[in-house]
Amino acid sequence: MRRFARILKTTAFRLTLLYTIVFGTLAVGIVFYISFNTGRLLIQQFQITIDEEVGEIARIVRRTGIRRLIPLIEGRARQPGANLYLVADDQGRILAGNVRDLDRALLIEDGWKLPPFSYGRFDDEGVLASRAVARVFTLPGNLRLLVGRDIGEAERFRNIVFRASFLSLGIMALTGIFLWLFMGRRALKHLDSVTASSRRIMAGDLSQRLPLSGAADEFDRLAASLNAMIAKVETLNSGVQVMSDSIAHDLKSPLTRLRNQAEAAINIKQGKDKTAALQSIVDEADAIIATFNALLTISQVEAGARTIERNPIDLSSVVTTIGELYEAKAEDENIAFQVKSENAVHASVNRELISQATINLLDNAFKYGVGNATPQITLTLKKEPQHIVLSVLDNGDGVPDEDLPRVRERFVRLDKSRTKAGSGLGLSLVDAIARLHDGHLVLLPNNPGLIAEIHIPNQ
Amino acid sequence: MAESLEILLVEDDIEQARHLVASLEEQGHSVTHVENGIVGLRHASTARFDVLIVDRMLPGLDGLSLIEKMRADSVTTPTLILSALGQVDDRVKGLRAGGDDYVTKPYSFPELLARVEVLARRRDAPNSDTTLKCGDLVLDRINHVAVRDGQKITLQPREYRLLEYLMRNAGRLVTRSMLLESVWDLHFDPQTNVIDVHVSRLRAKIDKGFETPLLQTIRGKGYQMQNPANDS
Repeated sequence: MRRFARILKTTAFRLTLLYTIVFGTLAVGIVFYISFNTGRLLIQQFQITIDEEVGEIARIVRRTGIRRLIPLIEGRARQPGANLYLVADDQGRILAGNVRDLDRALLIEDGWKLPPFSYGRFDDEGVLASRAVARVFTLPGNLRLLVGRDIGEAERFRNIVFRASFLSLGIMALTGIFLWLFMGRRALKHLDSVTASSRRIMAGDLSQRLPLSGAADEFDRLAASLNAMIAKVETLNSGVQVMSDSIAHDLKSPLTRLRNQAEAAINIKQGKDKTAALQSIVDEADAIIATFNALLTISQVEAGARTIERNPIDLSSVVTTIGELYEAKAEDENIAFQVKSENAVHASVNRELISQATINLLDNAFKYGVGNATPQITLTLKKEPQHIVLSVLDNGDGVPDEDLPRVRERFVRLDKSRTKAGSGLGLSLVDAIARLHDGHLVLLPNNPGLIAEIHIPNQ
Repeated sequence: MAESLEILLVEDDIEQARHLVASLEEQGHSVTHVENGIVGLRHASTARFDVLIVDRMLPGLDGLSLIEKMRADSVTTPTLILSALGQVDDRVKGLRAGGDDYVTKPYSFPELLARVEVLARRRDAPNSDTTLKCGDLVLDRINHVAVRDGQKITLQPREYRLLEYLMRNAGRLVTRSMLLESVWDLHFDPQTNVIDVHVSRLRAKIDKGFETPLLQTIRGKGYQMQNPANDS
């Protein structure tokens, strides 16, 4: 019963109902139109025939006189067919013809007797069982002549058309309903299985997929695109899981450190040491906030291709400014630092994010790429046919080949002892920024050292 | 101590606002705090404040709309926007709406205070003097040359801009990110010591060989040009 109630609610059923009502109304209309027109057409045909006959009889009577009338009518009346003839006197007594009886009032006035009237034939049994249309005509001597035509045949024909139309339309309607219900049930079955699968997916099993019927119909296409979506969600979800694990893991140690420092600070008496201890707590907290900020920026950049603004700028000005910012540091630390930038490299970018990415790459190089006896770092901007390439090159220890694919992941730090400050998010952010600009981050060994390149497609 | 400022704080987080009001008042400023954007706009429109501090997310009327409406009414009070963490485009949007500066929560109070005081000063002192003075150091803004105690000091273009910014805000704390913004036009919290190198080079030029150091490092916060005239 519940299943039935559910069928009543399906689109297939509703469409069927609508279809039935509309189709039924139209069909009934068509049947009535056809039968009405058939009847009218036949009666028009009869009128023409009757007119001709009346004219002919009148001509004969005029030529040969009224005495010829009775034999003429008797002769015609005996011919087989549906024609009616009747001659009556002014009292309504029937003198000749093939009509046995009829309503005498019809004979009083001349003219068409169009709405079909009833009359009795000689082969009827005493009742006025037949129907006809006729014309009444007054002849000299006040005789009434009625010429008409039995419409029984026409009405039978009309009924046949009527019944045939009804039958065929009825069959069509029934077939339609049957087909619709069949398809509806099929769709319902399919949807049932889709619903069951989606329940399992909602319950948390993202490895489930919606079933395909193999018919490649619209249901299959829908299920396929939903499956693609679920696959994407699954990937993202596992990414989120990995990430929240790393966040938990990587924030635990600084938070523990923070807690220990605070505990130690409680025990320090007032004075310079206390201030220093509190300052180091603030520094530690700032580092944690910076980590969160980097994480949030990464996820915003990853999510925000549509909302983050990009404006056309000259990248060489950014590179030159940043290069100048690092020149002093390089000189101070005896690093051979070079900035090689082509002039006027225009691209539509988010200036702040591109600057951030450049600074992250330089920071990495200055922090991890200076193991060489004569350290060199080069910042390059050049325009290639396909891409604009912004690269930072160092001759330090580089990254082992097996770690290259991994370093752009969040929280991955190759400095196992973690003695140097850093969150392990720098390259992740650069990677996200490059992808936001429809480009990518390329990491290559420099032997010795590392080449980090941001490729941004040329507009 | 810098001059006392009339500050309007529009912030709906009561805990943070209480903390901020207390800290600002401790610095000698007087603060009016409201929690609602519409009330904030009404106060701001009186134009009697030296600086506005406006949170982005507010009940009634959001911070950016508040600033836009206020600017449409030709109120030019310098305005600092507070925003949540990690919002990439917020700074640009905030400045476009008519804000003058921008700080991301959670901010460090010294950073916020430094920016508020610089903003207030920007209104008072039109930036048109041809020379800046700080003790016996004089900066010629036309020829981009500094002279200290009769000795001429040649400056690289970037050093000139650094010194000019520091001298214009003499007697006030200037943070690293403020320098990065005004001198290099780069907008983020510098996680590196790149600025320090530039400042110490500048210090070598203007302070080396003189008795009173003018450019001081405020540990963990930033830098400050001493203004001997005011210190007395």
